[in-house]
Amino acid sequence: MRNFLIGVFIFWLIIVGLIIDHEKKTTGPAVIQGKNNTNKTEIVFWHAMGGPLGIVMNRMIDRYNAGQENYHVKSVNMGGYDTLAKKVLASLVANEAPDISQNYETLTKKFIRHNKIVCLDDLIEADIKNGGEDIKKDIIPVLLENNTFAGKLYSFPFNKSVPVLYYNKDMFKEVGLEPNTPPKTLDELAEFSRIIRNYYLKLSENAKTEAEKLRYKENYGYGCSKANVWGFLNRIMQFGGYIVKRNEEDILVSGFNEQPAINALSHLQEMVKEGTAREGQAFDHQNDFIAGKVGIIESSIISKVFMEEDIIFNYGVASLPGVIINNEINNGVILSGSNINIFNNEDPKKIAGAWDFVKWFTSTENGAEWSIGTTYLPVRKSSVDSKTIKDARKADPNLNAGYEQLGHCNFEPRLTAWFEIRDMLADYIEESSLKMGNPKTYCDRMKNDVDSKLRYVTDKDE
Amino acid sequence: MPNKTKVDWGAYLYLMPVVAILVAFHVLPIFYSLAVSFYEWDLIGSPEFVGANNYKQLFHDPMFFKSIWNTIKYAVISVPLSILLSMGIAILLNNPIKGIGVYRTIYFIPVITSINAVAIVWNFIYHPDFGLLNKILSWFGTDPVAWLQDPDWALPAIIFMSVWKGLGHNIIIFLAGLQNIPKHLYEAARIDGASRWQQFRHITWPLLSPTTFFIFTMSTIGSFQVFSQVYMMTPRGGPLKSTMVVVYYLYRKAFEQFEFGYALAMAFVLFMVIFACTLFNKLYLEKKVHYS
Repeated sequence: MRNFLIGVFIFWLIIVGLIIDHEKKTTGPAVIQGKNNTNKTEIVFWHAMGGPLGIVMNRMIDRYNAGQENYHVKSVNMGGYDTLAKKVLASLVANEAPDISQNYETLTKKFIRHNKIVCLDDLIEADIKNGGEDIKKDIIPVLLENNTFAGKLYSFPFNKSVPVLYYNKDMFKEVGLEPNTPPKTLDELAEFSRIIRNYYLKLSENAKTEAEKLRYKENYGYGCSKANVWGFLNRIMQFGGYIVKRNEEDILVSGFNEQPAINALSHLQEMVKEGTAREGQAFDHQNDFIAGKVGIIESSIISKVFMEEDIIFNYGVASLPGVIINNEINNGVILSGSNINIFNNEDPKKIAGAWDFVKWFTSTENGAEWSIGTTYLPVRKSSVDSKTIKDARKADPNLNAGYEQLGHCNFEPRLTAWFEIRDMLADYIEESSLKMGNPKTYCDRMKNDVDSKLRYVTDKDE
Repeated sequence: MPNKTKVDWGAYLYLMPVVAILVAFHVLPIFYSLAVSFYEWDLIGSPEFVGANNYKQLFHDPMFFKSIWNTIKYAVISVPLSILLSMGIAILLNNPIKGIGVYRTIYFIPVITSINAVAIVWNFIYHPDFGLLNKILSWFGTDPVAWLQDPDWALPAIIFMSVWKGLGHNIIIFLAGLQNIPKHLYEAARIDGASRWQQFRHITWPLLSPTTFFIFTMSTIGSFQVFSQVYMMTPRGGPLKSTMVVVYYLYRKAFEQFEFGYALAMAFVLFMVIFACTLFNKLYLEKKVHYS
């Protein structure tokens, strides 16, 4: 027995050793990219870009480093956004902050309050004085507004995305829908999902074998993730509502008890109740789409780069459907993704290097390259109008939906209590689809709970 | 004249490194945490003294009470279940059967496996569509169950996995306890015509009680501190917060919402709860333990 266990252990060691050796030879170091063997000023960049996104980013960083005489960017992948946020906070406590990192707006507000980051307006003003460009004029307005706090730009938009619809063109054709006509309104989305579901239910009834019966029965019209706050907030925008605003008495109030929010919640609830929609955990809906079990899914535009290699059917990417208000389709989406902060490490050389890298990365052509490679939105208006993006859109029309929605983008409230409120919303959305109660009741409770949190919010710039 | 005892200061010198480590990494952080529980602190800025506000707020927080209730449910089910199963298996493994070492190893493997790796595997086992458990149940005509997505099943699913994971540890301790029971007592009982149940009831159970008491106490403390499996298997505290346990809630407050003072107040309330339970075990249950 002992010899057997020792044998197993040695075998395991050899296998692990061989795998590590192979990984080293093929990919190089997994986490930290870009070794600085020169006298250049090192700029440490903490981010959460993994997988295909990280590959595009590291390729661009390598190019920046190769063309640089003064600075060297060290790219450090911290895993997910949550881990990154925790590590950034810990590093600030230990006075070991990186030079730049990706962060959400709520954290940026914390950093501003404690004077931990550099105000980018100061750097832009210095650029203008030295004959450089006023970069703010070229930033897409909603992204500029999203990163402006008390009238000043404190973070730089970096990897911003929008939600889109993915639809299976082959399945559309099979069930009798026009393969190049995705749903334009939420009513159409519900109708198309019903057609798909009913088609497969009929096939299931007439199936000859039990396996076939089960296979057809598992096909749904629409799929999304459970407790999907992003989806709910998008719907509120589409129904013409608002999330949080200041009332006449300058008090923050939420709009969750109003009709657009009730409609937003009941739309998905109805589809789940009817059996045409299916909610999955985390990325289950994407897997179902790839497996051809769901005809339409709602997901981030960046899901495209994660899914496209595995999709073996014709698929399309479309803007989120809207709602007809006053005879016009009202579209509305909420931005997702993070921004860049430059930390105030009191080393002018490092701050200058960090700013140089941010400007280079988001410049017209590099921004266009980043956008095409990852599907993230470009930061500059000139990138959107660039030949690079226009050619790419012509070559792959599935890229269009992201750019098309730029005109009706909104962003989530940037309150420091927003993460907690978001979690509350997720609970109510989950409860509404699990218990199928009256949407108005959930929305009233949502409003009540959120407003009681908002009463204690003292920060501005929501 | 009384004899003067000479103090050997060298002994204290030898103790110094361990004492220094204990003070630096155990004692001071505890007192520091206790102090911070009276402050509001988001980690970056300076802590702001708020007195007992964090504690007051805690007792008006419905999620805190929900997390306490879930933790109690977890402890009340998992501890006795784990003890009964591990004691039963230990008694079976205490027999001189062929390949006993292999069985003992198999039961101990989950204990030495990382909880994170185990949780990922169990996520697949519990998957509603392609999970092993639903596949097995389907052979008996049972409809698929969304184990980790159904508010009624999520906590039992976590408990079952945790019991499985910790079984080997308890089995080894029970085995040690069983091997300490003198064989002649069983021989005498058999000569007197005692059945297997009578032998268990009157010999094994009372003489194993110090081991059972030890496992009960340690498992209770451990079950109040359950975290990793909840974090890994049911993000956000499970469907309708059905698996939101105290330590996970504390973690979310501290490391996701950056309310460190509040989280530490919660940690000290949890400490008091565990302390009270352990004290109850010591004062009440220990009286029923046969140490010889």
